Amino acid sequence: MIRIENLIFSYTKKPFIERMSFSVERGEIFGFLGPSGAGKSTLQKILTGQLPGYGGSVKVFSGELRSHGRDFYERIGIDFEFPTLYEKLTARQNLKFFGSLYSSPMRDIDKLLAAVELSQDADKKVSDYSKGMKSRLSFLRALINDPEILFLDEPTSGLDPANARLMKNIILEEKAKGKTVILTTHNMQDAQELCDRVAFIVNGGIAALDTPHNLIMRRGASSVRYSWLEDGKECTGECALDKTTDDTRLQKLVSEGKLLTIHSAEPNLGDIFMEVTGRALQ
Amino acid sequence: MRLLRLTTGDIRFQWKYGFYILYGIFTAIYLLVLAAVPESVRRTVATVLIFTDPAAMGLFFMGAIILLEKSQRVNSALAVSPIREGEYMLAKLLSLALIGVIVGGILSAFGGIRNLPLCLLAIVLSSFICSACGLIAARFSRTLNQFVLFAVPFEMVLCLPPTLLLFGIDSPWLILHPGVSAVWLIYGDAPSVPLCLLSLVLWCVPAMLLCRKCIGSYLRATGGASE
Repeated sequence: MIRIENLIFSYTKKPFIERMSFSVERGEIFGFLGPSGAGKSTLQKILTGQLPGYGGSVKVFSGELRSHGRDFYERIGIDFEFPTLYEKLTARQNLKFFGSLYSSPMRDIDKLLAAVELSQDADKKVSDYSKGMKSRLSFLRALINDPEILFLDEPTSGLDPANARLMKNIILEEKAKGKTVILTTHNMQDAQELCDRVAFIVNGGIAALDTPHNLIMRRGASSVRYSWLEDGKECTGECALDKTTDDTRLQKLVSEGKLLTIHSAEPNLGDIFMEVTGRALQ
Repeated sequence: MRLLRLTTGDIRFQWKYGFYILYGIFTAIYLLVLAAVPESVRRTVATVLIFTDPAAMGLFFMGAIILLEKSQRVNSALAVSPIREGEYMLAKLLSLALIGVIVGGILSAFGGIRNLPLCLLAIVLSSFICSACGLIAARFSRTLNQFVLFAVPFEMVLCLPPTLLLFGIDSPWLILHPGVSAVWLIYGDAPSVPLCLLSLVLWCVPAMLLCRKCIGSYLRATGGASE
């Protein structure tokens, strides 16, 4: 679906993106993970045809991106980090207007609004919406033309956990329909939960690219942390999950029934990102 | 069809932001002015009012329209939709020309303009030129103050030569100026109607081509919701 080979891009004389290569398959959720200013948004702008002055090759669908005309936008949907809506129009009017700009039939507006629990507010002006409601409506704007590739920039930013869940469910439904999703985020939980593969973008390059599971496994086994009471004080210990039988102290505490707490501590994508790049995500 | 939908969208945008109410008030004020002036100068006053406002409104209002779009970031959403630069531009030009034609038509009827169809045609063509120039100025403006500053050179070039006519400064060469041709056509004493129309059309074409080029770079630059 997307093939990038030796991509080079620069805003100034200094290269910003250098010799980047990767591909995204149809039906895949692919995440760009990285801190602000790493090059994620630039990469998304290149992939959506907004920055045609790149070097190397970028193929989206079948042809080279540079040769795509405006019809390219018939097949993609983009949800920006910030709402992009007419404030004086209602939610329904916004979706109807943006949907009317495409030659393909627009998706059922009522169903879309119901999916993000905005049915009750469909005829309310967007200016009266909360930030979270605007985010959800903006997300629907990106879906209105039933795109083959969906570009999402921080789709759950500013949403409460319940609404973030709604959005994530819709993203997974789109994937189930065979849609390709490019997720740009610095939220490692979203990436770990949604993405089939993630690319760590740092300083305009890919520091690592794999499935979240493989990236986490690369670090090795999870650890086990436990605590016990000694002379009235709480003490803690830690050992690798696959070495618990070698930890004599742990064995003794278990056999004597003196364990106070015990839990496993798996590394997450954020830990891996920090380990690979030396930088924190959030 | 998409052009029609975009134009309808722009008309609705202008309606929601009170452009039509504003122009209803302006029209009422202009009609009072026309009623107050002696009949001998009424046609001249009507011509000045029509040329400096409904025909040239794009020079003043395009900044507000584009900056409102920018503030709501809808330009970013439009930039990543299948609309063409030309469609975006034409929708803006047609929607403002519509207000120009309505207001200009009313003022023409009350101002004793003799050839209404020719007057309306002049309004449409000069409105296209002024709105295209306004769109170019708006493309490079981040604030309303900047727009006002950037629009001044266009206003000087488009509006100064026609005002010379009021002071009796006349020359056959002035037919090459779009503003002068428009004023002659609105007033109804053009030395040559085909040449005046040709002059307006010849100015329309480069203004719109340049505007379309500016819109292309504007839409590309704003497709990331960062501007």
